[in-house]
Amino acid sequence: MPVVCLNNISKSFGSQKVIDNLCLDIFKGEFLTLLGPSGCGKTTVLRLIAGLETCDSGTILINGRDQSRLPACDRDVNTVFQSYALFPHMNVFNNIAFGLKLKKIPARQIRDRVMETLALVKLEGMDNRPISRLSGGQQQRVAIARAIVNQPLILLLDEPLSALDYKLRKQMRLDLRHLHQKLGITFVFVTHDQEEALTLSDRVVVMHNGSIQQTGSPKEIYETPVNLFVANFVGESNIFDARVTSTMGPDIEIQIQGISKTVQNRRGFKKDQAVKVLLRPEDMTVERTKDQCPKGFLPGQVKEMIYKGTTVDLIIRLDNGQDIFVTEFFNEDDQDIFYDVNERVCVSWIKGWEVTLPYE
Amino acid sequence: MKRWIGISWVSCVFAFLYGPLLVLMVFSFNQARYTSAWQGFSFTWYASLLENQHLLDAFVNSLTVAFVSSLAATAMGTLGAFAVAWYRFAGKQLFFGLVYSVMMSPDIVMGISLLMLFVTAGIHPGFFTLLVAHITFCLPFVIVLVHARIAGFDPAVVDAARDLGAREHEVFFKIVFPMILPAVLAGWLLSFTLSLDDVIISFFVTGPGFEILPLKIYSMVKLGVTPEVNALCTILFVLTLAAVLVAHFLIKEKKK
Repeated sequence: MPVVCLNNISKSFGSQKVIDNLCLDIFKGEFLTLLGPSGCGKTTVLRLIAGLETCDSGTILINGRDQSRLPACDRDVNTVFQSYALFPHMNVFNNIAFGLKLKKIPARQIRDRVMETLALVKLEGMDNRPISRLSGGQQQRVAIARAIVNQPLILLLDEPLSALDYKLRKQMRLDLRHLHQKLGITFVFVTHDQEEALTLSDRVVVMHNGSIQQTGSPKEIYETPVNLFVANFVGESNIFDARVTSTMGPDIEIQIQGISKTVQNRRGFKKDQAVKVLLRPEDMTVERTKDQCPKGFLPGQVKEMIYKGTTVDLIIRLDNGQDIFVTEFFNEDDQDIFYDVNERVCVSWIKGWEVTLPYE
Repeated sequence: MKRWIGISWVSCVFAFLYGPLLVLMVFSFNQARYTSAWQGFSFTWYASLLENQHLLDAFVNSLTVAFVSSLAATAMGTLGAFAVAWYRFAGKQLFFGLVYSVMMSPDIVMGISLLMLFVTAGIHPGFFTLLVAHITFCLPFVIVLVHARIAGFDPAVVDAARDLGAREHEVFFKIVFPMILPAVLAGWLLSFTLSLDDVIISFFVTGPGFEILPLKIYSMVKLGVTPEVNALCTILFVLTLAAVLVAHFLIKEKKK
């Protein structure tokens, strides 16, 4: 049984529909990420689960009971806010103890649990510090400690890493993963950063305009996006317009920029159907050419080469004018991945690495 | 050379600002009744103040009005500050603008307009009218001070408190109120001093039956500045200064 069930929930602010008939099950112990651009409704979903907003229609089941109308203070859910929202007039200890004190837990027990949690977030000995004397990263840890000390059923995290600098963010990502493994609490994490979503989650929910676009493991989301929005939002994509010229068993033959290619037919495409073919920059192969490209290769010209240490990024202008993005890795077989600007090249990919979607 | 010019200029400014105050305070301890010559240190005039029943009555009246009006202005102003900071309503900008305009309108204009209001309404001038007038001119200061404090804190702390299990009254008493307390106290002390030393507005709205200290001093000075007035002013100055210092300290603490 899922620990949270969102059944057909909708929410509007004024005339603007923020959540549109959304359904989502969250399972016990998983690390689920809501990923989407700002304004897609992901934070609202979090606030609905927390009870800080109430939905206009639909039900929210937490642990099997309908809690759609239950106020936030009565839900077994705690939140780490984007701005941390620490209480500035209390020190670290009292911030973390706040929830426990409200539950009238004996003082000794509170002390033990707060100290334990401080150790868990690596803030031993900081209990007497005023909030104003903490760094951003430390405040972040206090915010997490204040939530997990209550041992909630679900921990909600609203873009908790967005205010930290790059290095700290990477460190906190690892710490969050360890914390999740150690506590076994269900984590629901909201972010607009696809890298964060892919590295942290067991399952990613991609949202757009108040509805879910795709749910799946990070690998599924990245390798088999179900629509152009997901493909474009998660990672970089090269998108080609194409037309099916014939079907041949599990494959189809398509025409891209006057060149014939065979690709896998995973969605039952028919002859003469217009399709979009998606390719990740790292899935494309580049060959040098003297004159003519081999069969199945698209001809083009290197416009720019960007050296990035572990990779070389190429921007290639195909002969029909489309610019594509190709990433080449250094490896032992192919040391020579440097190209001259304006060098003529041929571009292709290995059959099956592409994602073919209906035209939209 | 340049440094010396700077120092002497600053000394001139300070002498101009604080010289008269200092003279007044020093002469409140002067034994002589009429001359401005120093004739020895004494507490005579402070003692004679204590025997002047009219003055003491006026002082008690002043303290009563200052205390009640500052308390009322603080309570109303705090609620007003919440209204402006947290709620959306029609005419909010206008309301806030009016608050500032009351703060900046000349005392004389306010005094006369309040007088006209009370006369039109048929209310006899006295304690009540004075109280209403003092609450009116203290209110904007409280609203502005408390509003700045509320606007300065992250509204998410309220969500955080609810999320951690606090009910509405717990959110208010454990989170919101402690956070705005310095501004509320500062507003209260500021109102207290404003009310205590107001002359112009009080002059218009109080009646003959209810005399307050600043007006009493004003009428005494018409007959010449006596050492008693000096002593009285010294006491008032110390009281006001203390209140302002505490208020300043409280406002400053918020910026930390």
